[in-house]
Amino acid sequence: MAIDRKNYDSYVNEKSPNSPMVRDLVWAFVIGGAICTLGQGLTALWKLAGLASLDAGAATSATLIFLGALLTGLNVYDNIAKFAGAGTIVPITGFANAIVSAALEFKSEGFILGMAAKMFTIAGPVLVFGISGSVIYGLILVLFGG
Amino acid sequence: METKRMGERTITFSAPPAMIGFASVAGKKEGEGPLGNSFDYVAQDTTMSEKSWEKAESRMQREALDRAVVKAKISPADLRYIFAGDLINQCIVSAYGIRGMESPFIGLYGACSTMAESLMLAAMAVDGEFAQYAAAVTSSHFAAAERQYRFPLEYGGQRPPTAQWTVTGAGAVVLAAEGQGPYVTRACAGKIVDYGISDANNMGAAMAPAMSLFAQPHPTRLQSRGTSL
Repeated sequence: MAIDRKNYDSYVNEKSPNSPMVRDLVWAFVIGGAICTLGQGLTALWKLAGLASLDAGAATSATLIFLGALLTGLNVYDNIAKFAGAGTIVPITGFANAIVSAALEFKSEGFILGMAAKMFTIAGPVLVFGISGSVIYGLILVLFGG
Repeated sequence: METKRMGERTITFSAPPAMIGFASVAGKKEGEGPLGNSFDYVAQDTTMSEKSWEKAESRMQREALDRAVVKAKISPADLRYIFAGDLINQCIVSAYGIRGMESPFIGLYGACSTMAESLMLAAMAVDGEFAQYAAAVTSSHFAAAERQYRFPLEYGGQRPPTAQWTVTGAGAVVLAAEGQGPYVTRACAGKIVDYGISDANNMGAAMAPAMSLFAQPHPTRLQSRGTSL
């Protein structure tokens, strides 16, 4: 088969090694599941400490965000993520990692225009679409929700 | 007029410039690889005691050039031109790395081809009798390249199997019109062949078409001279 511009893309896809799906999925399930289990445990602890159900949930989120940020700063989170993939990206700890890692990386460009401005380079889209989406759903609810 | 051309792309130097001094500086990971013993200097601390990765890379580049000049046994001011490049915006790493040298700086950007590109142009300058001595310098730094092109180092992303690793290191060669070899005898510049690969994690696939075209035997004039390019 002569390779030209048209069929090069499919040729590359055929020749490129694929990610090891089964291994990736197992790791994502185990680590992602462990983070969620930790979250459940934290919720139980916060309730034991006397918080109401809703407050315990918020406190759990804050604790997980703190842990994600701390482990990112200690150069640990990305090493777990090498194996866990989506298992560490999807939970709220992944959101903390996305912000803290960018903040660390860009602090060499200055405190305001470096760290502060660029800490949202990865997490920014999540905020834009998350907030926009919630506004749209809110409007729909107000207009048609009765 | 084109007395030094051999074909569509290949040129041959009438007085092949000699590589009278060359040096390499590499990072810790590269030092642990199979070529580890052949580097002139392996930086165990890839920050090079600097505050940013870019500054560290500038230091590495300058370190490589200084060592090459010492090995060439010439004075830094003897260099008529310094052809240098790196991967970072506006070739800033080279500009700050070369800063303070007396010689004119010619900034280059060829990404993976910068070392070959700088060598070819420096050899042209020397063989063209525009310079007795000229230097070719190139550097890259894994952390600086990741920051500019991909994700922050601590970001928990996964690399696909096709992802490459940008080298942390720098190389410098001093070319002279006369001296002990190795010599630069010929050069062949490639051209851009874009087959539409847009995956930043598969640079091999993006570059392969240009290389395959470049490596095909060139007909007529070259074969009559017994070379393949």
